[in-house]
Amino acid sequence: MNTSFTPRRITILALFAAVGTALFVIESFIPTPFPFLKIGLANVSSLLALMVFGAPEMLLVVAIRVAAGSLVVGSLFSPAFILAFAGGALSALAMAVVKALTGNLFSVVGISVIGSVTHVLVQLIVVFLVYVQNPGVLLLLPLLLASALFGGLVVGWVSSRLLRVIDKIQLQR
Amino acid sequence: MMKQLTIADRILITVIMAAVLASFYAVASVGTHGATVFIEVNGKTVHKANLSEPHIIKITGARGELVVETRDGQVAVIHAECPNHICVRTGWRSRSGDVIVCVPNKTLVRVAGDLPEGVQAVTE
Repeated sequence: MNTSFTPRRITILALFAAVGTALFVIESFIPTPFPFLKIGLANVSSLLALMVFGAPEMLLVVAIRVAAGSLVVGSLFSPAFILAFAGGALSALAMAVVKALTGNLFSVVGISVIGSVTHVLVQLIVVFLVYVQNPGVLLLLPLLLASALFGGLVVGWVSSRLLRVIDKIQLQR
Repeated sequence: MMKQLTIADRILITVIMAAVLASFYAVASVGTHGATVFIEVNGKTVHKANLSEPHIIKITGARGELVVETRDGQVAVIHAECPNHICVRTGWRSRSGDVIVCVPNKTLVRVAGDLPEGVQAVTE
């Protein structure tokens, strides 16, 4: 795996992380009936990092995005941050592993959906185990899954459109 | 986008949609199962009991006495001092939201679901 961190790569990855952070912050301002019903547009930047560069780069971008995003939004080290971090980390891992194991079996959209569903499931489990032992939270499962599916599809679609542009300009060189 | 979806993508999306429906039905059926019963006289809750445990509860209504029994996840008014005994004839109730009413006695027997009332999931 070619992971030489040339200045060009570092700059591009930094831009990915910055875009991811910006998207995360902007999305946090959009009102939703429940706080967790987000589309997760910041994941576009993670997905692009994964598809253009590779798993290590993607994990790096995700880590920076979650940290910087939480810092800006003001939720660093809060329960919200722990949830977002756990969900984000495991979903990024899941996406990277699936991509590594199955190659081109799933398109960007599929990988995105895998990521969003993992993210949501991890958050639900963490909330149940760590915060609210009430099995009532499991009632949210259908809603969470549906919104994860929708978000994953949207993010995947946006990423696939962007990837076509990126291919043309040879960003990965 | 529809053309770029691989077979694996389509299977994945179908599976998840199925999971959404399945979890929806699972949640909907759990939600209707009564677990506790509240007995209110004149608008005030005078007794609360667990439906799964066998209880015999004597309530003093506005007009006389009522006897409420809980057993096996159900509740019924088995005796009441009122003219028409509509409450007794209502029989056994088990679904959350069900009520047995004795109007002369101003008594309400209310079945509540599994979850503590007013639970709010706090997430960000």
